Formats: sequence, C-alpha cells, structure tokens
Amino acid sequence: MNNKPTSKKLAFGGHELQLLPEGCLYWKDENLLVVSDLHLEKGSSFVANGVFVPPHDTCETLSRLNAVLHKTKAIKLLLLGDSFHDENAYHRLDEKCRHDFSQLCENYEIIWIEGNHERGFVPPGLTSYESLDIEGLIFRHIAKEKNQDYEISGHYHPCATIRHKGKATRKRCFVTDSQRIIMPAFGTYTGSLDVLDPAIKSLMDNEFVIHMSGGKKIYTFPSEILG
Amino acid sequence: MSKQVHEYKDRADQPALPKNLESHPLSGWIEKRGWSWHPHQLDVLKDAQAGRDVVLIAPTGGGKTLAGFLPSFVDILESLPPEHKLHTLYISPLKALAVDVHRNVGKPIEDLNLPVTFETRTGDTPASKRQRQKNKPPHMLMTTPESLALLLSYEEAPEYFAHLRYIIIDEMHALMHSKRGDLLSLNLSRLATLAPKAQRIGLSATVADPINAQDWLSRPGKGARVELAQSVKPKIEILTSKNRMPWSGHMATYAIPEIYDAVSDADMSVVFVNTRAQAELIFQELWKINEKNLRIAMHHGSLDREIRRKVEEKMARGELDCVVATSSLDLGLDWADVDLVMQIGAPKGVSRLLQRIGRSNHRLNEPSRAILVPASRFEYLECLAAKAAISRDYYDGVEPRDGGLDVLAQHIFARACSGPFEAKDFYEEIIQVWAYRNLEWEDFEKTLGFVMNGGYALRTYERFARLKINKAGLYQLSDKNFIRKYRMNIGTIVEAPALKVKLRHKTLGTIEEWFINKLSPGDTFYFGGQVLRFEGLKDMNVQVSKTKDGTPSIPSYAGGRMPLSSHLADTVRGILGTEEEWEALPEPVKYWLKHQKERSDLPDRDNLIVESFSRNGKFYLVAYPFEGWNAHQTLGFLLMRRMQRKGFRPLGFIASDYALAVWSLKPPKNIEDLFSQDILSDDLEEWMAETPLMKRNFRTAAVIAGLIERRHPGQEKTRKQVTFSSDLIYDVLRKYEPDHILLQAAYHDAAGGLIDLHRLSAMLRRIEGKISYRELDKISPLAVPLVLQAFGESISREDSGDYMLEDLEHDLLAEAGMDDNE
Repeated sequence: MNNKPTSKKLAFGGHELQLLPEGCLYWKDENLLVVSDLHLEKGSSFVANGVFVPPHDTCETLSRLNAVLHKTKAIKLLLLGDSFHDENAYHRLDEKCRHDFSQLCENYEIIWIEGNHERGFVPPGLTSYESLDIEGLIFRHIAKEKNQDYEISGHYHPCATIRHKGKATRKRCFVTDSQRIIMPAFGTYTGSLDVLDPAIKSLMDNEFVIHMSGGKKIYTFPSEILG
Repeated sequence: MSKQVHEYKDRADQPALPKNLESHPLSGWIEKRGWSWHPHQLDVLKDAQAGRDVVLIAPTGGGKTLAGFLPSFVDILESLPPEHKLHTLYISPLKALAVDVHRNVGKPIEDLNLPVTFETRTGDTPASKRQRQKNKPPHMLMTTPESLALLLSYEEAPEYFAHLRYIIIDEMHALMHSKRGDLLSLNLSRLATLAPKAQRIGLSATVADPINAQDWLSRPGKGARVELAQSVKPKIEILTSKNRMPWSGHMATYAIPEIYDAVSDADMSVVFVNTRAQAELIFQELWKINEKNLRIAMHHGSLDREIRRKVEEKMARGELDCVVATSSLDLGLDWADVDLVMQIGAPKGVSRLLQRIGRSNHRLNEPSRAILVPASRFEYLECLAAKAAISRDYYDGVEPRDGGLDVLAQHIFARACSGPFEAKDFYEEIIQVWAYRNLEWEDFEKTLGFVMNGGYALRTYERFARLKINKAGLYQLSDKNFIRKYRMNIGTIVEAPALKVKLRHKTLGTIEEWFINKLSPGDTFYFGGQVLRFEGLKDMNVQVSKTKDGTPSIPSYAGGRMPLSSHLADTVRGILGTEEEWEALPEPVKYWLKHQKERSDLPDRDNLIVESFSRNGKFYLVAYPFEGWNAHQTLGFLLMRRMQRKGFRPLGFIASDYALAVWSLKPPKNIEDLFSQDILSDDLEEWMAETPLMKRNFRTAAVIAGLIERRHPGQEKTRKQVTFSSDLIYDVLRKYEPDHILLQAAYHDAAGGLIDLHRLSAMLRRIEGKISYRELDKISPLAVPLVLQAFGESISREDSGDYMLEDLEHDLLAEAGMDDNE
C-alpha cells in the first residue's frame, strides 16, 4: 500500500489543478502553490484578553507550508488572504518565526492577495493585490456573490460533516463547482464553517462538490450526500 | 500520628452522655421524640471536642447528619459566637441535599428557639441574598464545594471565615479522589490557614479504605475516625425470568414482565439503570404493560432540571410507585418510603451497588431489599460476584489519586483573586493537602507560571501577564477584571458540549453535541419517555417534534458507562475457574460454561485465555482479560496497530467489560508476542496522539485550568467570545511542549480512567507466561456474546474519521458499479 499522501486532479477553467490533502492547491504548469487563511499569530492574539493560548501555531503553520513547498517543488507561492490574523500580528512574530517568514519570502516568489483580517497590512517588500488574474483564473480572498469568472477564493474556512453507518466525521474541505473553488483554511489554529451554512452554500451551484482533507488523500463527494 | 478508631459491633455499649450534652436543649428535643443519642454520635462529639478532625463512616440512616452537626451545636451554645459571624460550614456535593439538610437542621433550632441563624448558599441563591450573606453571614451556612471556592476568592475571605469552628463535609465518598475533591481539599487547606481553629467532620458511606478516607479529610496528625458497620445485611436476589436470558446486550428487556411484577408488589421502588438509553427503554417497556396504571416516572441527567425536580418532589410526597433512574439519583435526599431497589444490568462495582441499595429503607436494623437483573449471561456472573462480595463485607471504589495540575491552576488563580500571596507559603499550604502531598516545587512553579502568562517567556505574553510580582515580592493579580472571569469559570465539572432540546418553546433537557452530529433531520430517538423526531438546529437549539413512530431510528445514546471494577472482575474469574461455584448458577448459564470447558478453556484468577477461529473468511482472535471496557478498548486499538504492522491485516475489533475480539484477513501468529508488555511503549504513543479519548481529557483539563472558557448549554457562539478548539491546542502542544502541565493532567486522568493504563499494564504483567492459547475450528460458547455484539457496534481499523470516508467512498463506488482500484 502506498503511504505517501496523494493529490486529486481537478480540471478547472481549462487548466489542470491538484488538490493536496494538506489543504493546498498546486498548479503544476505555473509552478504555483496556493494556500489560504494562514492566520499567523492567531494564538498570540488572545493574549490581550488574558488567554494564553500556546504560541506555537505560527511556527507549525510555516513548517507545514515549507514541507508542502518542498514536496511540490513549487517556485511561486500565492497567499490567498488572511495570512496574518490581524494588522499587528506581523510585529508579534518571535525571532525564529520572523526569520522563517523572511526565508519564505526570499526563497519563493510570493504573491500576496489581501484578506480582511490584515486590514491593509502588507509585509515589507511585498506587493498586495485585491485580486489577480492568472491565465484566466481569478484569485481573490472573498468569493464574489455574482461571479462570471473561474474564481479561486478562501475566507470561509469550509469543512464538511459526513454521516455514515451511525458515525460522523468532520474535516476541512475544498468546495468546488463549475466556476468556483473555495479553499480550506491552512492555519494551525483556524476553526471552520460547515459547507451547508448559507454563507457558503448560497455561493455555490445546486450541485457542488466537496473534497475533504484526509490524512493521506482527498476524499471527493457530491454535496447531496451531506445532511 | 495518633488515630482514634471506634467500631461498634452492636448498639448496646452506650457510653454515658458527656456533661455538656446532658443539659443541652438538643438532648431534651431528642428525648421528646422518643429517640436517644447513638454511640457513634457521641463518639464524634468526643473526638471533635478533643480537637480532632473526624470522619464518620456509616451506612445511610442512623442520624449521620445530626452526628456531623452535634459538635457544632454543643460549641455554639457554650460560647455563642457574635452575630453575623460564620461558625459552621456544611458542604454537600448536591444543592438539593444542602437545601434538605438546611430544613432538617432548622427543625430543632426553630422548635427550641435557639439563637442560631442558618442559611443555604448555592448557585440558585438570588444575587441579593448572596450579597447580604457576604456582609452578614449566618452562624451556619449550607453550601456546595463550588460556592465555597467562590467565597474564598473574595478579598474579604480572611475576615469572613475568621470565626469558623466546624466544617462538615457530607457524602464525602462521592467527592474524594475526583477533581471536585481535589478542589474542595485545596479550599480546606485555605480555610486551615484563614481559620486555624476550624475542625473538619466528614460524613461518608462505607468505603473500601477507611484509613485513606481519614487521611484525605484530616489535617496532618489531627485525624480520628468513627466507623459504624452495617448492622443488617441487605437481602439481595438475582431475578430469574421465564424468558430466555440473552447472550449479549445491556438492556434486560427480556425480564420486563418480572420487573413489572416486582415493582407492583413493592410500595415504592427505584429501578436503577446504568445508562440514560437504558432508562429511556426500560421506562417505555414498563409503560407498555402498565395495566395497573402504576405511577412510574423517570429521572436522568439529560432531562431538564425542572422536570427532575418535580419527580423528586413527587417521590418525597409518596405520589409515585416507581422511578426509573440513572446515577443522577445515586446521591441525594433520603427516602425512607422506598422499600425496593432494583438494579438493571450489571452492577459494575460493589460500593456503588451498596449505595444504591442503601437508598431504600433507612432504618438501621431492618434489611434493605434489592433485586439484581442481569441483562446477559456474563452479567449474571457479575451479579453473583457482587452478591458474594456484599455478603463478605467487601467494598471497592475509586482508587486514590494524586491531585490534578489543572485543578491546582484554578486554585492558584482563585488565590490571586483573593489578594497577593507569597509563593513559598502558598506551596507549603498546598502540600498539607493529602492529594497534593507529593507535589514537587518544580511542578508548582510551572503551574504558577502557566497561570501568570501561560508560562511563555515571550514579550507579548509577559506584557499581558495575569499575575505580576509586586515590590514586596508577592504575586498579585495584574487586573481586577480577571476576577469576574475566574468566577465565570469556577469548578471542575466540565460537561461535554451540549445543546438544549426544544419541543416548540418548551425545553425538555439537553443532549450532547456529538450525538446530535450523528443525526439528520427526520431521524427519531427516545428522549424523556417519548419518541422525538429531529427537525434541525435552530439558534443552537435542537428542535424536535413528537412522532407516533413506535421505534426510534437512532436507538440509543451512550453516556455514563462505568467499567467493571477490578474486584468484581477478579471474583467473576474466580467463579469461572472453580466448578463448585457454578452450583449457584441457573441452568442455561451452567450449560454455557460446561460447553466452553469442553470446547476450549475457562479463565481463572491468573491466566489469560486467548482463542482463535475462522468464520466467513475472517480470522477472529478473542481474549478474556476481564479488565473492564476502558482497558479493553485501549488494548483493542493497540492490538490492531500491532497486527497491522505484522501484516495480519486486521479489520475491526469489539470490546466488552469481559473480553475483546479482533478480526483480520490473515491468521494471527505468535500470540504471546502480541500480548507482550512492550505493546504499551511501541504503539501507545502513536495511538494517544490521535485518539479522541485523550482529546476529551485534554479539553476538560484546559477548561478547568482556565485556558479555554466553558460553554454553557444553549449559549450562543458569538464572534467576540474566545472560543477555541482544544483539539488544535492539543495537537500543537504534543509536538512543541510534550511536558506541558495540561498534557500531564490529561494523561494522568486518562491513565486511570478512559484509557485505563493502570489496569492494562497490571494485566499484561499478570498474564506474562500464563497465556492459554486455543486454536479452535469454530467459535467457542464464551465468544458468542461478543461476536453477536460485534454486528451492532464494532470499531473500525483507525480511530480517525478517514476510515469512515474510505468506507463511504467504497460504498458509493460500488453503488455506481465501479470498484475503487480505478
């Protein structure tokens, strides 16, 4: 049995994309890895309320990200928004994490899409885009309500609950239809929202598809099997 | 260390009344009612007057509460404390009990017009009354451990408790060796500092280790103990039904006609069950055949508090004939009118069974009557073992444990709320507590650091620290706003996240979120004695409607599953291994064991029987350790991993309290190796990382320690509220801080509880070299119950959801006429 995580190929807007079980999207032809909602320094954001959530989330998120980059041999990295949890998060990075982050910026060509959480903050040296068209695929943080494009977005942190033979499991997932891909959140401390929530469901065609992140592979199901 | 022990063989050796009691108005009051002082009451008084902390161990009834209050009553009249000074603190694990004791203690005070004030204070006390009590406490205050913790967190605590003389702890056996007990005993040590003259009096049901109860209660070197044996043994029968006793299952519905007959014959009965699902089912079944229109009610922890309170009131007024109840009625008010206790399903532990039986007939010299109803043949053996243990006066119970670091963290925060403290002094105070006597300074320091700023030497974390060291070198709260936060989060009872069940606008009770997650709209289930249809979630409430369906589609939800106690397990193995003992067994059970002996082998006190056979192309491996469900569950997961590595291709397993079975595609080999002790090092670590059991323990510890806030049922998630999945934190800590105090706390709890490593490792040691392995050509009689059960509730290869997704994918592909090797 093959124990290496395997990806799922997805034809979208005339391109072939790969959904990775790690929760990232890889576009081989462009050598581009896409990740959304890192929410770096979410842990330390609670400190001001006297809640001392362990601070290792940034370190862990970056190390998982580096592992995927290494595996895919990507050259470009597209951060699809909410990369930092708030506008001050970058300044809370401890020495090691700041070093890891600047290494990332040095080693890869970073494409920064702005999210709502950073409130306009952009790390030094990067250019920020509200949205970006790459070969006819539109990347933006929050999906547009009326969408005519092939659009890839994040923001909603989708997850799905599968009920089967009296048991239930809940996992992060990609949500796709003919014109949209909504990415799962990649951040270590990020929570999620069920795809059946109107906020997500109303964006999608009646027949949409979920791709759940398992440990070793992507599990793809039509939305009709949910609840 | 001197210890005072008194035991009573009979009640004739009545000591003379001490002078100050002879002339006490209470003696006249007792006499007027035709009563007299019991020797154990007088001995509690004597020991208390000698300045000792006294534990009174006695069965229910016999004036235990009065014994507890007696020293206080004598002292309070001799040296009347100033008005509005607290003299006596009574602590009960149940609010209802505090209220009841308030009423009982009030009777003589009011009859005799004594100048003593007495009040209750619980979570239900109105805020205005609580405020007044804070400024003008009564002489006697009846309260709960949580309310005590709250009182101690006030800055005025030193003044409030300065005149305290007696602390009475009721139902002490239900508090000891639990997190709730940890918190209470830490607070007792606080009181010992604030009110050095205050003495403790503990009231306990009979426990396995009375000396330990004394140690748990007393300040070092000050303990005494009074023991009163059960003068009349309860009369216990095991029910025989004309219907066939099932091979497996827990529901005992086969015996419903006989249960109904017994209930009809009694004046008032309590039918105890082990799970809420059982309560719902037995209740339904009894009503189906209720031709005599008996007044049968139900009581369990998921039902709305208001509904439960009504049942209790009706019982107290004698307006019910029968109550079907779970452990929610294990403690509480005394019901002298109950003349029959039934236990449906195996009793699981001797002490718990005895306490349940003790709920009936509270007269010391009349026997209580109980009927045990085994749900399966294995359970029959267990009932027999329990009966034997009771006739031999054997008790089991909760194992003593060291206090948790999560509870310590909460206590440190509480201490800071009440004012600045010196770390070393505080540490000295804490290690006076029995459960924390082994606490190392390093662990205390780490926990203190956790409370301060999470324990992280990071700029942001230090800047917002909750505690700071002031100029005098004392630890103090950095912001008074934290006090409110602490008070919101007080206590150690952490319920699984639960949602309210609403029938239109009426709240029926609560159900755990994990159960609701399994439901789709349209599914039906039993709740509160009716079949309900799940309509959906609305505003975080479970909306249901009534349905006429007789059989619910989702039959049960578990909860409160108690594992078989070591002692009962040992006795059951003893019965199995000794043919002479089989005389007491009914024919079908005897027949079953005889066949097992012919076909395979029988477990005894030392060995481990392991069988293998093949069935429908699968290979079954069945072992009979009798170590309880929790330990078997852990062993099952570990065996699966090991078998997977060895290439036996295991598919699933099933565990019961008595045995476990694993099935695989290839025949397992080298059985001795499979069960070797190193299974606890190799595979355990990996499994612990992903098992939801550990995550559940971690969540509890994180809530108690104040890292994440508790969610109250029905409380809506708001954006502002800091809710955080503890699972995410768990994963990160395991990787980055494997020694974190909350992981320590979770591991400590799991090892003795849900994962039960203690029993598992003891078992693996015990059976080394004593495995009796049988290769059979077909299933053995002893394995039948387990394999039957496997159809219903087996556990798949992996503990994570992936296996399920794999399975669903496979099913869908098969449905579409494809195989999944594309």
